[in-house]
Amino acid sequence: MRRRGDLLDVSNLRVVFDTYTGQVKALNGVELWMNHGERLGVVGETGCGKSVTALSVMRLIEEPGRITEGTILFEDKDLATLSENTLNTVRGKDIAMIFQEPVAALNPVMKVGAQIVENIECQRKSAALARVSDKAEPAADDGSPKKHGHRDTDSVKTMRDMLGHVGLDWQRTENLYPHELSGGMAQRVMIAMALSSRPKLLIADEPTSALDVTIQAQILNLLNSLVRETQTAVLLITHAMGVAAQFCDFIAVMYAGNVVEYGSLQAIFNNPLHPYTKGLLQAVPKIGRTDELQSIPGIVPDLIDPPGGCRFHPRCPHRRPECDKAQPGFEPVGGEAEADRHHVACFLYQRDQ
Amino acid sequence: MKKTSSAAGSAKDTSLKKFLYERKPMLDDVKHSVYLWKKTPLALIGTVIIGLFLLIALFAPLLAPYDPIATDLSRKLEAPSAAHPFGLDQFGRDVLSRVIMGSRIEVQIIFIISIISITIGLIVGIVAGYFGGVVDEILMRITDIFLAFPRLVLAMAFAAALRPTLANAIVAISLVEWTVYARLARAEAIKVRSQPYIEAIKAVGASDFKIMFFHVLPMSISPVIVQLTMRMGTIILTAASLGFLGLGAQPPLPEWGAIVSDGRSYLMNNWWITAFPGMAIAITVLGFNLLGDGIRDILDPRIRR
Amino acid sequence: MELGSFIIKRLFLMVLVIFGVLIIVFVVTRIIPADPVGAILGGNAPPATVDAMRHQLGLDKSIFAQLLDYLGGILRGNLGNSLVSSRPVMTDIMEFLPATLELAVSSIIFAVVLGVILGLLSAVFRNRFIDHFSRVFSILGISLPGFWLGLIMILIFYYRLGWLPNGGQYDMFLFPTRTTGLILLDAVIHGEWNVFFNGIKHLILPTFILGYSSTASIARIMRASMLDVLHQNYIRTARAKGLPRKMVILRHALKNALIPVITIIGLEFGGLLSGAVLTETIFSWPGLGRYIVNSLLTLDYPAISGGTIFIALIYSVVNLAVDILYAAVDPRMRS
Repeated sequence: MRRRGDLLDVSNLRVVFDTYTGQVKALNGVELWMNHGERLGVVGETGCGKSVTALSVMRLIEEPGRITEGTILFEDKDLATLSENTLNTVRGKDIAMIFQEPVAALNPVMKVGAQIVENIECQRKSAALARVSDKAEPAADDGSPKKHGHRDTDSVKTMRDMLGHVGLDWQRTENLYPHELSGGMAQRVMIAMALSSRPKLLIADEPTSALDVTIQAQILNLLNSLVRETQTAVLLITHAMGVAAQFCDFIAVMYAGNVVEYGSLQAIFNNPLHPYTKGLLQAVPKIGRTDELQSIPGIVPDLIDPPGGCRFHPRCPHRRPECDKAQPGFEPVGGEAEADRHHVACFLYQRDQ
Repeated sequence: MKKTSSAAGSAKDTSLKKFLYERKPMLDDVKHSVYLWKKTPLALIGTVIIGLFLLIALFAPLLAPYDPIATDLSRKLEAPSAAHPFGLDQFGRDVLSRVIMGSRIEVQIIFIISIISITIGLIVGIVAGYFGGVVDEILMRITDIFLAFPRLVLAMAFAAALRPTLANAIVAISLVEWTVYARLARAEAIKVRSQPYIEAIKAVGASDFKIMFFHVLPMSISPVIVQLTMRMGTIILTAASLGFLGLGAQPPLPEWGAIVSDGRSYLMNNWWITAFPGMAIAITVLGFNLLGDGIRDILDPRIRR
Repeated sequence: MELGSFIIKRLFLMVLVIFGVLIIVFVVTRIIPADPVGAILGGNAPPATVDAMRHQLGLDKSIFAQLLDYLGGILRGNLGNSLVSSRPVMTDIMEFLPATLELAVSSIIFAVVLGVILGLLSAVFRNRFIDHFSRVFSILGISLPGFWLGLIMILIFYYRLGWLPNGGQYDMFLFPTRTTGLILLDAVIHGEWNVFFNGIKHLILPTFILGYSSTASIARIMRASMLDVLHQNYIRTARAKGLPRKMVILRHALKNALIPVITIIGLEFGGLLSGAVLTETIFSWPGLGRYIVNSLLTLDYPAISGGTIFIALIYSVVNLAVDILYAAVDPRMRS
């Protein structure tokens, strides 16, 4: 299969959760990709599988969930099949993650400084391990203990620099426990921790949803300036179209476990194709907008027993006979600039139909 | 999910349907609980054990093959045989019959202790939680004082002071046991007290007693009952311990702990006097614990999800 | 610091509770018993003797005066004389206390270590063999009556196999040098290794019997707590850092999971002291528990009240220590 993004290429990703009422088919063949340094926003309603997608990329899905199918190509590795040990050299080092509830995401009985240092140390260790195995030398256990003291002070310095970068005073912050931080401060700490290892990809799972509106803007601006400096690619998960529009170069719209439309910001906003994307954009309030806000009729489907074919068909205003029979393929939209990468999963646009 | 068979009048049928529809969330909840209960085999085993225990106690006089207190010194300490599966004790009494009749005593113990301790606990807890302030402070400090003793030690002291009999052992354990329910009822009463509808009832002029009896009590009772099922195993163990120490049921009453104590001196050569009644205690307590665990799991919102 | 004021507040409450304990013990040993003199002298003593005894015990005074005498005595460290041994109850208690402490400490160590390990493994290897084993072990631990299991163990390990002794702290033919009263500690101090190993042999069964139910409770709490912690967001963060699973569990999950376990160690200690009464009776262990049982059976009221007060005191102090430990471990408790 043709490689679509040189940093990340997720294809046909399927994840299920086994619950007592039945199997929840949370991801139903997700497709998305990105190049180094790009910012991709994944948008959709609550429960559409955005967060599951984010967690799956790092294989952080927990019981009773599991990945049943699909590939997650990251650079030259398929994260879906990597061994846990090898995966741990990618986690934190190449891909870092920040979460929706920053206070809960920090260990309550560990000082925040120590938690950042731990990440830095962990990444140095795995970098050292990677170097050793590159040279095909005999395994050197896990890092040399002799240099430990030296490394410690080094990591502490990095931690303090990082706290400075995210706008926190390390002298006041490093010895605090998470419950002593506000949500905004905690998210800054999480960002400092995530970026301390200079990852190639930062996954931000609704990083501002749990914060006050004013803090949201601050955190987004901070994130924006930090990743611009370091040219870090960002996979931003959000339910707010506005946030995605502000921050991202590319957008993937998800509905009920599928990416239904993918493309550049311009393509999605100026030329939305999928009926769901159109509905979603009509539901975004905007200053100066005078027409009525439209909501999409119907409800989010039950993922234990999802509608057959296209999962959006029961709510779709342009439904066609074939829509409930087969799942539409995820195909490029002809006639648009290659740079727009515009793809849609909808029978209305299938060329061979 | 079975549809009600609609041979009856259709008007009645629709009203029944309506009734069921309105209560669907509740029904689903019950169904879910039954589902979880069935899925937890251990809870099922517990239910079966307790069911058997209660049946044995109910029909004990029919089930016991011999008179539990009739002695026959000529056959004392006879080993288990087909006629006497659990053997005979030092007075030639049939151990199996004693164990079977003993189940009645255990049921009696659980029943009376439950009633006394729940009553005290509910009164103390509801009064403390409902009035708050100084009343709460005083009642809770008294509870703390009772909790400052290891349970069995305090129960022993009460039992001895009252003179060791089965009835006094029951009173003694109740005097120790109520604290658990007092704390629970208090927490529940505090929750209810702050509800807006209590304000409304007060404004209409309901007395404190009425509010406590008709509004706070019904809310407090279910967590207390749940806790009680979980503590029944412990209650039996405590009663048996008192019996074993000679501070509870006195001979010739076939209380299980007391029988174990009887057999102690004959342990080396006549193990059956000790082993079987002890096993009866163990199995019954196990049953209550399994059942209690099951109930706790079924009610645990984290597992329910 | 906040921790300091927390301790002071807790201490104040403890003094209040201890005062209540004294009152309850007074009521139980002096007011409830209908006829303590009759219990001492037997039913047929001549009236003159009864009166003399009543006077000697202070029973002819008013209840209030009796209470003051009693509290005053306790403040001076005088718990009265035992009716059986005629010695001061305080002397008796000091003689029996070390054996109980030795047994209780070894049992709680056994229970905490084994309970935490079992609970941890159970949660980490959920639904695997070790989990099933640990859960069966635990449910039996809280269900089997300790006094019965102790007898069965004696039957097996003493009468049938002859591997372990059936009771006592050490063999009768040994005459250990006593300094602290703690047999094992004394044996180490004086280098009496035969006594030490003999003592250990005697300690095994009582420790297991006394510690088993606490082990079971701790394992159950630890398992539940660990399962809960493993689903917390910060564990996901730790995994996202690329920490190996072992590190995630040991560095991030373990300490958080231990917090609820600490709170129940105090409660378990109460269970342990209750259990000590039975265990000491079964294993003829010369401790406070057996002393209380004997006093209860002989209606030796001064001894009953002294022993009960001491047990409650030990329990309260342990609970205080556990509360302080809890506050020290969980940073959220401090502010």
